[in-house]
Amino acid sequence: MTMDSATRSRLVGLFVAEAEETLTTLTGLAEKLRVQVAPEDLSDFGRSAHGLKGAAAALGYGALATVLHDVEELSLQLAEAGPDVHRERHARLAQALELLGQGIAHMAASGRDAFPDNLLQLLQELLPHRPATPRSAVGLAPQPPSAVGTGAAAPEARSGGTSPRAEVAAPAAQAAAAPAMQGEGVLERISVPAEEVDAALRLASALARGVALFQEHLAGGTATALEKPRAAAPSTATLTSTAQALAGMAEQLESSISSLRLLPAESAFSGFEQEVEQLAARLGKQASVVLYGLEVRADRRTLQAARTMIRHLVRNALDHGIESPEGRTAANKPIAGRLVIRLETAESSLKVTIDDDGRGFDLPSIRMELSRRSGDPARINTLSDPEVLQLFAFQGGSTRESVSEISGRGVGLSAVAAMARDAGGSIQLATRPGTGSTVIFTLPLEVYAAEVLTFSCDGRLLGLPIQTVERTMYLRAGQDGVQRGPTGYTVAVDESIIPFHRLTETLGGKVGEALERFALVLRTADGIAAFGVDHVGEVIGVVPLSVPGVAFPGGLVSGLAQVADGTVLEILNARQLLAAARAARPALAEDAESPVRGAATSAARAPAPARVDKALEVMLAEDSLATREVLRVLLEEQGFRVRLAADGEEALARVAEQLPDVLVSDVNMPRRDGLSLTRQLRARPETARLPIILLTSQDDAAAQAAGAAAGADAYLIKSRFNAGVLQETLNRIGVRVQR
Amino acid sequence: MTTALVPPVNITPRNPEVLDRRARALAAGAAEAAGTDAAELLAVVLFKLHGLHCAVDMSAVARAVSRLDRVVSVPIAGGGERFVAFVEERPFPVVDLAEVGGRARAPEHLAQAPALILSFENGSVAVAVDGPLELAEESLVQLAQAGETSADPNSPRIRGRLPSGATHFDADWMLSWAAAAIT
Repeated sequence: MTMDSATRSRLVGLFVAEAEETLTTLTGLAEKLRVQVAPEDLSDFGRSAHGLKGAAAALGYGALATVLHDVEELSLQLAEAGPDVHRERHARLAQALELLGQGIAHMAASGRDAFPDNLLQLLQELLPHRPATPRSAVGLAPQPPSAVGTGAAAPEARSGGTSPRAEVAAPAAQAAAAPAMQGEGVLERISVPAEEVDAALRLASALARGVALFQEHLAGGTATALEKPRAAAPSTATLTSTAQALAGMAEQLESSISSLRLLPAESAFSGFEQEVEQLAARLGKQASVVLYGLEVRADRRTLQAARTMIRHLVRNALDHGIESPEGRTAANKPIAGRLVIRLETAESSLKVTIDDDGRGFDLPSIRMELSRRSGDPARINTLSDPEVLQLFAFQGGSTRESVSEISGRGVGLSAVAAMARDAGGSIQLATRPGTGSTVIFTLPLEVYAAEVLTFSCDGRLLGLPIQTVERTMYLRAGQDGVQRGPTGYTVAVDESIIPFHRLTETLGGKVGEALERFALVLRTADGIAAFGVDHVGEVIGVVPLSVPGVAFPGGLVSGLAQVADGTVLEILNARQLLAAARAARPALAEDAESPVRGAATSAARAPAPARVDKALEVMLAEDSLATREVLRVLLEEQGFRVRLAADGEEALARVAEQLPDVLVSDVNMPRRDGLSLTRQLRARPETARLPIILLTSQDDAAAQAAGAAAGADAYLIKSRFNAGVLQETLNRIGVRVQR
Repeated sequence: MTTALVPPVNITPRNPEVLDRRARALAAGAAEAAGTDAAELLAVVLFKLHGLHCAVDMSAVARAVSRLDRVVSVPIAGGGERFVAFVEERPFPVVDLAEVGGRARAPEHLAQAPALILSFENGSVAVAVDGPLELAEESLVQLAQAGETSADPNSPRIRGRLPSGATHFDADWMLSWAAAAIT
């Protein structure tokens, strides 16, 4: 008998949920067994491990079942050992549970019907297989339910080959071949308080009754089964009131069901602080953890994956980052290390930031390790520190030779990177030598609630997560606030000139003659830009739905929802939108029919390319010696290389000699002013893409418009200028500065 | 919340005599009689394509929708767009079967079209066809001729013809064509 894929998927989901709970129990029991091998704890451990083994065997995870059998055997050996042997065996037991936890978390996060092979291999190395003892073979042999066992055989069991490990679960593994599960997700099971389901049910019942009543009202009166006299036709006010009540109930019901699906992060992190303190104590260290964002709500699967990833990273930080009390005292740090974990939802992702105040990543060792692995030290040496860390994050692994009880061989970072990557998320590392490190990872949320600003464009209803919308702008008649220059359309926002895009065009549509009346200014980590839209609506809460390959977290449209009248709301991904706008920015030409006013020029150019440079060269054109020197010192202090020009004409000549990375120019200068300089540079192919930032003491719209029309990328006010503002501006226009 | 209601599919028994005979046989407990008839009869969804009568096995259709009602085009990163329609609060990618041997319709035309919801391992898709949709039990009277099948995955695979003259599409082909069209 074969099992259909939906049933198999449901059972795998149940197995994953059960395994997560069991491993939590086993970890707690293992901690007790570390201190004292009490028979009842040993018995509980064996029973829990055995139950999970049976479930694994029933689903056809033969090799995993064997590993669980070995875990059970190893736990029994704790009682027979002297102190040293006990310590060694317990360390292996703890590490095995850790690896099992990683694997199950991976299954939960990826939805795959297989325990990861690499982790299985590590477990097999860690736990040399011993045949089952008569006790466990006879008295506690797994008894898989026939309905499950006959239909289940997992990919992992098929790959078991002739290894002796496959023997334990052979009856189940041989029973039947599993249906193809390639790419199919495991059905998720959620556990929610019964009273919350009851509350939702009550709301649904009330809503159904309300709808029935409303229909009676509409039919012209109320006639009940109790033979009440037919009432007079209801007034408009009654109908309106009933409709409002119905809408209120529907909203409550929607909110109630959303809350059932989206759990607070707090539910996944109970007892985490104590766990960290205990782990630190086992390493002879002191540490505390502070968790922010426990009120963030996310789907259970994402939260579970995040919890596992955080646990790995915290263990790594405790083991490798946080110094011993003596080391911290010598470094003038408080004796207790401090970990800060922040959870937040950013658009359609859960973002987790973990900061520690330890010694930071050991960059020289990481470089050596990457050089060794790649066999190309020269290439590794050309990478900046952030690039080295990023490479290390994605390759994973450790620089440590020794195995630690807490963080093992350092596979934690590797596992976290793999989990983030497999789930479609990201991971970033940063280090502050001697003072700490930061790890940031994101996971796309399966289900999430979003506050979106709705707007319309070209007849379609669109939305953007409200946190990405910096402001809305009303465009004056004829869009005379929008300028057309060589870099494309721009609009002045405060002292900055930012790119302006017609949203319809960015989304692949054809722009009509009618001009957009509003602009949305979007800001993400990748930059800022304004988008012209027809109308701006209101902020509403929605639960976006995904359509694989069409609307999904990470796509240009990250989700779809329906508003009250059934209109489909397309929720855009701000980062993808900015990227699409940059890619689609049209080449400008003399176009008399262009709806946008401004000086036309034929020197079309794409936005400045993103780049990474350790010492960015700035050409600074400024006629005032004092101002020039102040700015030079200010920029050099921040690591920029600076070349100077006393006016626009000199700047033009010096740029021609050697192209800088960016030009910062005053506007009012003798011989050639900044606007003329900008126009000249834009007209030359070799400098058409040069990032140009104009500096002036003027803060008026006309000056900004003139700068934009000349083709400047940004417009900064001298009195507010500093290296930080410059850096932010460079980032915004696509020049990445990393020093 | 959607307020617009999708009208129900029109169910028309095409062969009432056969259905009546089967119902009587089943009521009399004659399982073998039902089995005999079932072997001869195909449960199909009838629809039209380019004005021609067509059919596909009902077992391949998770749901039939008499009108998609609202079809939106969703832009895709990197260019292009896909069509999506909501059916009972769930969004489905939409593909137009009229593309086979013809041109795909614009969203406003697709909104008026009936659709067959097909499910496969990685999701579901709404296949827009021409209506009206009808459910029927009919037998296959003529197997496909050699010239009616093609190795080209974009060319429809045909199992044969029904007594009404409707072309009976191979459900597996339709499923794989729809899956390919949305990926």
